[in-house]
Amino acid sequence: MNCQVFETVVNDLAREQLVEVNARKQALAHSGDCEACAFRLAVERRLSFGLRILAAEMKSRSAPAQVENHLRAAFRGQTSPITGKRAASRSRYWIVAAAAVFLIAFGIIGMKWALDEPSLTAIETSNTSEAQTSPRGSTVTIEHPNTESTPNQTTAIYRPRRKQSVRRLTKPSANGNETFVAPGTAGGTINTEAGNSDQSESTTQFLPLSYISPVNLQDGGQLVRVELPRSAMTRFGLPVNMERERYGERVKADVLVGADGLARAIRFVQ
Amino acid sequence: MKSDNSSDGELLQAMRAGDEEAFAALYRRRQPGIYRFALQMCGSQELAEDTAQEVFMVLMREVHTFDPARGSLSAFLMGVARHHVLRRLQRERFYVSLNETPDDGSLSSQVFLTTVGPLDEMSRTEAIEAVRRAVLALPERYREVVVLCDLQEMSYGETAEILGCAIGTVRSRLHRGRGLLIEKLRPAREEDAASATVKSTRCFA
Repeated sequence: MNCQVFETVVNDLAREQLVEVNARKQALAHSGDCEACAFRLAVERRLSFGLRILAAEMKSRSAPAQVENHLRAAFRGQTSPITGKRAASRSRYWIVAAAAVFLIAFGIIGMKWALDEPSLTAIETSNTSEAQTSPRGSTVTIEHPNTESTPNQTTAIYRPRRKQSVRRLTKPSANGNETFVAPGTAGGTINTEAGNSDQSESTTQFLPLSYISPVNLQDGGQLVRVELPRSAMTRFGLPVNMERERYGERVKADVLVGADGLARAIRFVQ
Repeated sequence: MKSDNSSDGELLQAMRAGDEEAFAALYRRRQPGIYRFALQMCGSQELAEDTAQEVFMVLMREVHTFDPARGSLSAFLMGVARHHVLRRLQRERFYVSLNETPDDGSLSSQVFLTTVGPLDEMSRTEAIEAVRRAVLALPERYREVVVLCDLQEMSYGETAEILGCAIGTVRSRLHRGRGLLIEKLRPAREEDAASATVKSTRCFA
């Protein structure tokens, strides 16, 4: 045996643990030959002795009686302690699980409902130009120039879904419908489906009056028909007949007013 | 009423049925070891009492978590005690007790392992105190092994079960822990002499 092997058994030797007979003999023989290992074994034995007297000194130590009294009181305090607690925790678990299932089901149904519902619902109203407000969305009311004379008026409810940017604001369609194009949404348009609108009416594209953030349009808005002096068109770079007699004429325009009350865009109507 | 001759399993069974005396018998049987373990680990009577109480409160509340197939009740309780002690030690690591004397290498801890003079050079009380302080100064991972194997006189297997590690790990930690204890208890001047001796006489025959 060498010092390295001796090192692996010195603890067990010092602690008087079971060591294989041959290994024990060899270790003791080595400690007789090697002064360093003999010293090592002596130190380990001394440490074991010190630890043993510490253990013996603490052997009689135990928790005071008041701890037992507290525990007994606690044991008495719980009626049918184990089963009761377990049953309570189980019932609580089932309640939480049921609530979770309920919430998930509601969430799925709600999501499905929201997806299935068209983003735009045309509501036919009779003889009213008041804005229709949906409980789940905001409203854009489009007043047609000839609404005063037509019995039916179309109110379009616009429910924006996600961020939109306004690039092409108007797109006169072939069937005469007015389309409010909100880019980024496939069906996110305002389609007045105004079959009764004046088909001869043509409009310019919407011209932004200020910087339009797509976020601003998420809350919807209103189209307001106004009349402006013809000269106002020049401010938007539109060609104007500058003859004196026509210069002072008034032109119709639709102003897109945001939910915050600020004018967002304008288009001129001919 | 259950007698003290009943096994842990029988007492546990009776305790589950609501037998207070069975619980008390179990407490009286297992509490001293738990209390001493906590006391030897942290050196605080208050914390040791707290640990003893907490362990049996856990047994009361979560007796269904004990699985006899996974180990003995003793190991289960000791494991709970160990977790509680380590948690408390971690929490109170930043607090220094004003009553504790700093480990400044005073006489009692310096002369214990001297091989020049016999143990009676220092009183028994001094020796106990020196060893106690040296154990408390060990890092926790070594301290718990020294406490379980040397002070609680548990086997490597029992210790491994409580710590949830391999027997080889217990052996190596005990070896390292005892080495650290020797370093802490060895007087400085002798340490120099001993290392010099070792250097000159170490053999690899």
